[in-house]
Amino acid sequence: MGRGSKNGMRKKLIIYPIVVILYIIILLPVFWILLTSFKPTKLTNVPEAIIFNPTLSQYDFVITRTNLWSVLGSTIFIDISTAVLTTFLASLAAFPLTRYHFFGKDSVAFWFLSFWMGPPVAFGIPLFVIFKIFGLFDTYLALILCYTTFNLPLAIWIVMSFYQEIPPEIGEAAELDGANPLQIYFRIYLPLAIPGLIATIILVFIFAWNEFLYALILAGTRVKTITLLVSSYWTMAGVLIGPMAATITISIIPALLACWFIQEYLVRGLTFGAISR
Amino acid sequence: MRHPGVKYLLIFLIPSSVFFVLFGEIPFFWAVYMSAHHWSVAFPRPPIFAGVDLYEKFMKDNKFMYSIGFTSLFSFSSALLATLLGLGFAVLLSQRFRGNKILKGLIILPLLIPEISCGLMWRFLLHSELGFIPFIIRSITGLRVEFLLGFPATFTTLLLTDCWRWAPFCYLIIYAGLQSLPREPIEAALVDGASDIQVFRYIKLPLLAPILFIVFLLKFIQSFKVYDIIYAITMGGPGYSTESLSFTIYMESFKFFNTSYASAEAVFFFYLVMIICFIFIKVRDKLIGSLR
Repeated sequence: MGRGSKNGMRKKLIIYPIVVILYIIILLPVFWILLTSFKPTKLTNVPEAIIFNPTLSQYDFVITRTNLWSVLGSTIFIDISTAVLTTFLASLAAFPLTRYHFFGKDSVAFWFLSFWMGPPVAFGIPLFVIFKIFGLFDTYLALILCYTTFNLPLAIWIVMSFYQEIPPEIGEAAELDGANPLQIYFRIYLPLAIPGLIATIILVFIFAWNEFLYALILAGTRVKTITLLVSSYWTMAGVLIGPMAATITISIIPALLACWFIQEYLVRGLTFGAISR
Repeated sequence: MRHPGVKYLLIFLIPSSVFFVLFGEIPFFWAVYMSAHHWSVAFPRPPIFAGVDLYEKFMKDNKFMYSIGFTSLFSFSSALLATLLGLGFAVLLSQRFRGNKILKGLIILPLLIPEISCGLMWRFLLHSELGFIPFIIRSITGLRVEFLLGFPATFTTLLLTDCWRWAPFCYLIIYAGLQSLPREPIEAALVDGASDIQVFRYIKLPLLAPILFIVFLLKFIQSFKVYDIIYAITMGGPGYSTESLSFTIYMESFKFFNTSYASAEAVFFFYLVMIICFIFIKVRDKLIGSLR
């Protein structure tokens, strides 16, 4: 690429300002909420206070005055259960969808997808009624079952993309030796896809962590998730900026931890096969 | 690739299907059943058959019709803006510059943050008295700006917040599409002395067009179900001017306890989304067909 350095300079003069602006736009809300969470209470509603003595009093408030630990505990329990269960179910369902041809395969795939595409309120209202009847309303199980169902389509598509990377010849060789589909799944596909399955678990964990509407409908008093806690500080009655900032900061920790290594996996599920890799 | 045999097919597909049937399909038909009866979760009386009355009712309900309009406008603007931003990011990040890798990791951060937190962060940042951005604008220009007052302002705020959160989603797909473009025509054009801009305009963009359309549709479907950021930023207000379909139906069901009426709206909403979804699948299949 024998490009003139003048051209390169001009390009850099355009690129770097845009990059800087982009950094500011992405980081400003996160930085601001982080900053506010370390402010003393009398400064939280003063935007001009940028330099101050950082304090942990907002976190202290959240820990002592709200049930933060129990909320975090239930959120993590629900989300890990959801992530593991969803990934296991997806690893099963993705196998025939990747490896075999059978009658009605496209219809099955569309049927699965409709649960991801369908609006949560359409399922949430009747699920609320059904869970009330069966005494599941406001329990861990209600959220785990619901989250699993509606994250499953995405998980299936992600796992399918990992299965597609396994050369079909391996399975064919095993078939010639008389292995049945179940053996091919357990001996070849499952072990080879383990890194992909771990990525799927992490992704589903984050999606479940971020879920709000289902939690709002199906839980809230005995079982509370982190997103419900986050939403409880700014109401018609007023706003508690400091504790809200502290709770939001906690709620974005998984995102901060995951965003560095998860980008490659995200794109696999989100396109639903729109772009063949 | 042969048929695995019905027995094995069932072993693999039944566990997921059980979940989809129990917690997806049955609730959906439950909603359809409720939508044909007068019934409320708050007043446990036996349901009275209503036929299609409730469907006729929401067809004449101005609030619901407004909500369809609002949601369509919001989804269209948001999908358009997010796709354009995503294209911009994808082009930017396929250039070589220092810090490219760090930005690639950072740019998807908004996508992983809970939407409700994202909404509250921007609401706080844009609040006319508590917020940092109005403060900066005030101290530079002396103008008082209201991002959260009145309809066009709230709409714009919701739109920008939504794009902050979802443009990275569009970027991810478009970037993957850009990387998978065939190399030959691009290299041939470069050899013939075409500039980078010409290559982009006349070769990459036309090749990318189907992917852009797919991204637009995916984002449209996603925006159509918008709930969290509305809950966080405007609560549907002022009045009901920013009530999306999800929000209206939620309020109808859990604030006014018109369970069966909300179910009728929800069933209608479901089919509306499915129609868009069906178009998406058709377009995707056509695209995949054309790539092969």
